[in-house]
Amino acid sequence: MRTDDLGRYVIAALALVYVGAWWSFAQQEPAPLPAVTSTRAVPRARAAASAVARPAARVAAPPRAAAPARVVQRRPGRIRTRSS
Amino acid sequence: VIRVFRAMSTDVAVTAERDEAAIAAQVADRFAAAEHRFSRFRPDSELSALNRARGPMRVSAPPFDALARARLHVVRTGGVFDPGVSAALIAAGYQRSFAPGALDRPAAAPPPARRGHLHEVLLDPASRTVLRPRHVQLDLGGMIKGATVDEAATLLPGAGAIDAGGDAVVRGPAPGGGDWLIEIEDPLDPARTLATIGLRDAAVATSAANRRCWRLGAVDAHHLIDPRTQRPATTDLLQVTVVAATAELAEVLAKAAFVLGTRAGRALLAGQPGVGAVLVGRDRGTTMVGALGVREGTA
Repeated sequence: MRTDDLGRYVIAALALVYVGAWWSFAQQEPAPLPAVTSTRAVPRARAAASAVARPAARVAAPPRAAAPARVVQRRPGRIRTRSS
Repeated sequence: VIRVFRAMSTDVAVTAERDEAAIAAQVADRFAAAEHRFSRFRPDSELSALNRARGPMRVSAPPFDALARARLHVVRTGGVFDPGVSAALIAAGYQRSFAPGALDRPAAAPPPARRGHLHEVLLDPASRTVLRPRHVQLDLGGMIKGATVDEAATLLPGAGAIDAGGDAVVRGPAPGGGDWLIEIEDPLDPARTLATIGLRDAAVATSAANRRCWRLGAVDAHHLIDPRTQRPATTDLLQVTVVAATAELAEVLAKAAFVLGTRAGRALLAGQPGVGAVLVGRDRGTTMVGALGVREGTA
């Protein structure tokens, strides 16, 4: 085989690889657009989310009643209303 | 059998036709949870966290719902009920849990430079986020006591009553049948009963300045702030008792009518469907509003 024939075979093989790679790429689904298209909005949104104070980290779980209710003797069916 | 426990600086009495011990324990837990969430005197309460927040704060459902209901009460009372006046309450000397004599001071402090109102607070239902301007401090005290009484009453298996120091809900007939008898205390003589009314499946609440009061030098102060002046209300009334469908509404209307005084208070109450009231003036004269089943007394 002559040297210039070998060069043609190499060029043809490279061309086939390139065409195959292009064909494979063209068959792929396009990637979805990013949810936030404005690059400026991202840090602002993150800053706003972090600025919302969340009580869960600072407020303890609701407690149970400190002491059981005691029994008292009152006139049944009567309630005294007043400012308290 | 009546079971009593201490919560929200008052005695809470539970009367149930059965399972009273278990019901009272559940009711006590509800009061403890509400106090833990809504007390402005507990630094670890959710309300205190909200009053400290320097920006939007995401809150749990109970305070968000309470603030949304409070807005309706503000509209209903023409702004005379307003939980946004806590800064004025603190300026008036009520900065810690009440005890007789504990709040006395040699002189009054000036009211806040900027008036606080609930309508300045932004509520976002979608994210349950609250944005409070710095000058608005929130205090849902009496309204939450009423709301907790209402919530506790849903735990009653049948007839019964929840009574939190005079804010009460009664369900069904009283023990032995017949109506529950509601004794209205005489604000000038607590040992005396001013009037007794019959009640069934309803709520009652009373507002007065004769108990949560203190001295600022030579001046008397109390806990019922007039949002229009940001000072303890100056009124011709000694006490207002309101009967309504819920203890929360009764509490809100009693406070608003007290602040408004006899004439405007009576007009406010007369415009509320299904509401009855007894207003006691400084001259000890009583004014009745709506249909109340008065059994005894001068009202």
